[in-house]
Amino acid sequence: MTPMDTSTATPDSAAGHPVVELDGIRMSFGGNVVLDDVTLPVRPGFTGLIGPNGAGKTTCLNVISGYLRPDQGDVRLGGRSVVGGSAHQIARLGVSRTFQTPRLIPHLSATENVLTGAGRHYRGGHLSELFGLPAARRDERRLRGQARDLLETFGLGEHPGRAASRFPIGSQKIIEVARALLNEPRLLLLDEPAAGLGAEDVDRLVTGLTDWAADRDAAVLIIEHDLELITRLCPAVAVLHFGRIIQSGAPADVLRDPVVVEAYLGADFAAGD
Amino acid sequence: MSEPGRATATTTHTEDPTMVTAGAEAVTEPSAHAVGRTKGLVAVVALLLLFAAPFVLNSYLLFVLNLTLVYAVATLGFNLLVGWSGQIGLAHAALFAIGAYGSAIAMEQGVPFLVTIPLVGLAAGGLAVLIGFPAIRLTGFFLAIATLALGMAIVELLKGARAVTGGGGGLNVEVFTLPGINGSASTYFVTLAVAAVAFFLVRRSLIGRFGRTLQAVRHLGQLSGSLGVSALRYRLIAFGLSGFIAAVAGSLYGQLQTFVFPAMFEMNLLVPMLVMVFVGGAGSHWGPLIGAAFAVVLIELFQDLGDLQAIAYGVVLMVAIAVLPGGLVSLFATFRDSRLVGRLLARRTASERSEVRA
Amino acid sequence: MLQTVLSGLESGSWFALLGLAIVVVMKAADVPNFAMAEIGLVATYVGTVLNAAGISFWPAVVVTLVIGTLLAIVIDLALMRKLAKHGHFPLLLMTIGLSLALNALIGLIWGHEPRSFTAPWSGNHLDVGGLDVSWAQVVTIVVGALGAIGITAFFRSPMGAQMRAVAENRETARLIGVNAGRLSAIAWGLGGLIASTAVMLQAQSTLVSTHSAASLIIYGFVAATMGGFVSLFGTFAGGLALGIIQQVVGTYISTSAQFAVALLAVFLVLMLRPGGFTKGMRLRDV
Ligand SMILES: Nc1ncnc2c1ncn2[C@@H]1O[C@H](COP(=O)(O)OP(=O)(O)O)[C@@H](O)[C@H]1O
Ligand SMILES: [Mg+2]
Repeated sequence: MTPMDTSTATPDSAAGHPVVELDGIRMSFGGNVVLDDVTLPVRPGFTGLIGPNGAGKTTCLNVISGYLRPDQGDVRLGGRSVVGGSAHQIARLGVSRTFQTPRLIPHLSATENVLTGAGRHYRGGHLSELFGLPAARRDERRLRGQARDLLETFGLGEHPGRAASRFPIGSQKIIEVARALLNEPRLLLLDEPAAGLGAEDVDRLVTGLTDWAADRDAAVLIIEHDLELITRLCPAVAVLHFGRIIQSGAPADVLRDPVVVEAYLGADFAAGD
Repeated sequence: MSEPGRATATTTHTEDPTMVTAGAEAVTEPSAHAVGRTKGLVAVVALLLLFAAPFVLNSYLLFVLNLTLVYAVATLGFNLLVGWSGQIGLAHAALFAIGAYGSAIAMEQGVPFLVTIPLVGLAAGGLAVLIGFPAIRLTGFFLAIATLALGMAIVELLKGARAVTGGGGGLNVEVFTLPGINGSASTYFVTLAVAAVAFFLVRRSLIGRFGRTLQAVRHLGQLSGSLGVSALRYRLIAFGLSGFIAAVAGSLYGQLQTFVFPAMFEMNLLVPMLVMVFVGGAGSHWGPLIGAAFAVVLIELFQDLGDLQAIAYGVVLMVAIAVLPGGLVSLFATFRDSRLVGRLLARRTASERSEVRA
Repeated sequence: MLQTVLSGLESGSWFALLGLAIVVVMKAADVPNFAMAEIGLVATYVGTVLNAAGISFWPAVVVTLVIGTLLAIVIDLALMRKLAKHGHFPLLLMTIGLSLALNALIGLIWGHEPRSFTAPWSGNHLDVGGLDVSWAQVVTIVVGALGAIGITAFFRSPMGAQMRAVAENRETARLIGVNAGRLSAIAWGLGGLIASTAVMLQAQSTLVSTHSAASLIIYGFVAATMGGFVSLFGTFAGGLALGIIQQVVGTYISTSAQFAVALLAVFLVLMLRPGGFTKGMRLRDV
């Protein structure tokens, strides 16, 4: 992982124009302020977003992906404001995400579930599919192949035909990641992808993601409680606490910052580090 | 799981070695293709048999068969809406009525019957999209009740517009005949052709991207937005398509009955339609045919029983739901997944596999 | 006009009570019960039979209410309970099948001719400043209002609060130790009690039959819709409003337009007052 860390995406590298930028976001639910003046640039490569439960991390993703409209502030994707766009429009601009609790179509196979992520990469419309035109078949074959390859990459290639609901939760989360990747996103939002995964699966997830990201300049914003994973993967990390970004920078520095330790990590971690 | 379809045919051979090592579960994919071919063969043979029906069946049985096919087409549309897109829209009987009335009225104006079929389809499809508009805000039971109200209002309208529809008294339908063939056989052949095309096209779109997208909308709701899918758009498309198909079936129903009146399309039709979707198994491919056959047989069996008919109908419905909450199709699935059949199938795929390698 | 409003309040009380019965079951058991009017009708018919057999009025009323309550509880236990895990569709169909079967069963046993449940005050009238008021109307309106108050009070009680908790979130309710099964039986029983009251009130004033039950259930659903299937007050007020609208339309426009107007009301309410209806979309779960 380290080669990537140092070469491409140091937080302020000039090459890394932010793919998405949260600018002064304020979000409240009936008077309960959940995000308060959140400003966060997400550059190509991996960015970690950490913070205690209820800090507003998932809400950040919901704002970026268009499920929530912020009270104030702007979300710029590739320099263009996307606030007010609906979730599907934003997804079609190349933003993919996973959910904290996996949301798959339970009785469809892993492959079919991954294929539901391919929406914008079908060249023909539904009519060409209906009439079985060659273009539609080619699309289907190509994307199905890619879906299988992705499952393979994440170590789920053995059971492409098994119904999604029959996989353990951890694997379901990985199927969601594969589904998100099939969209070829330029911005990938992952909500606690490693929660509930065994050590081996975490390794595969990390390898799969780094391989995928290696030859692309996509940005990945990853919410995770597994700080070791964050340190391995992310050259940049931001800490959210009560809806505010209290610190950001390289993980090594951020995680040692007394304010962060105080607010989030607790004395144990500081001692063990 | 749905079949991978033709696309896998080419990849199967290249992937064969890995498939073999991957164990029983992975093998289901190539064998699914073989099953698909068998199913295709079965469909062709069934179609040929159905084609011969007018030459061998008496007029009553032909009527029953024809009615089954008409209901099967109607249920195909209903299942698309309820089973696949997950919306309990209850205006289906009314849209079916639009087809029957629309076709009859257009024929009075001199439009040939075969032309009225797509015309009423388009009209009802558009209307169904309007009826589906509450889906912007409502889901579940609330959508069901809003659409039920709209459907009832349509039937009230048919009663009210005496000048065009004959009001509660009803309307005669001019019967279309193919050259050289008698009326009921003509109706039957048209029905058969329409049913075959409808099943073929709907099934084809449902096993592919369109079907997956509908299911994503159903199971993920608003969250399907993150897949680049506008849930609302697909919900309305499902309404439109189901309305189109309902009206096409309705136009055939008018031909079959030769006389239509509003009371035909009230709860006494909507309930059997729900039964057909349910019994066939919401969200299945061939369920509508099974459900329609079940409902028609039930209706015909209990024809002369008066109040007992309704009791029997209600009781059969209740028993069916209590015993098979997933519909008849779930029975087949249970059967297929059972140990014994599983072992038989496994053996068959194993032998098929060795054939491929040989 | 006042006379029309009075009749409207009377029929509105039937609609409101039936709507409340539907809402109570919907709240606690999440089932839209299309068989509610038939449950009330079965009970009422038993009452009329007893009455005709010489049993005096009040005991017959008590038996009617007990039968309505028990019938609903039995239906919940025997039919609905184990379907809950299969989602809304089988539940919906089950109540529809039940309403068909009960309706036909009533027809088979008692026939389809309209009947009434004669009360001691049936046929007696009052003259209130030129307004012709029947005792039946007074009883209906008063009992309707008392019923609504009673149900509201019930939902304020600890058990009612538990029911609200179940309605809010089934999972959480289970976690905090609410016995959802018992609550569901109680809600069905309460629903059956209210429904038989509604049909009995209708029967002591006018005639009831298998046909009147079929339209009563629609009006009950209209009332329930007006309360968004949750608000007791909304349902009650909605039912009364619906009754008045019906009578006004029937008197000044045409009785054949009554049904269409009711349907229009459902639709408008659902479209214009979505505030209570957006529960399906919970981004909190993301
Ligand atoms: N749709 C919503 N409506 C109301 N409150 C919400 C909603 N989404 C999140 N919240 C609240 O916002 C706060 C932050 O939630 P969330 O972003 O999920 O935290 P995290 O993901 O950091 O654990 C929580 O207090 C939560 O209850
Ligand atoms: Mg979260």
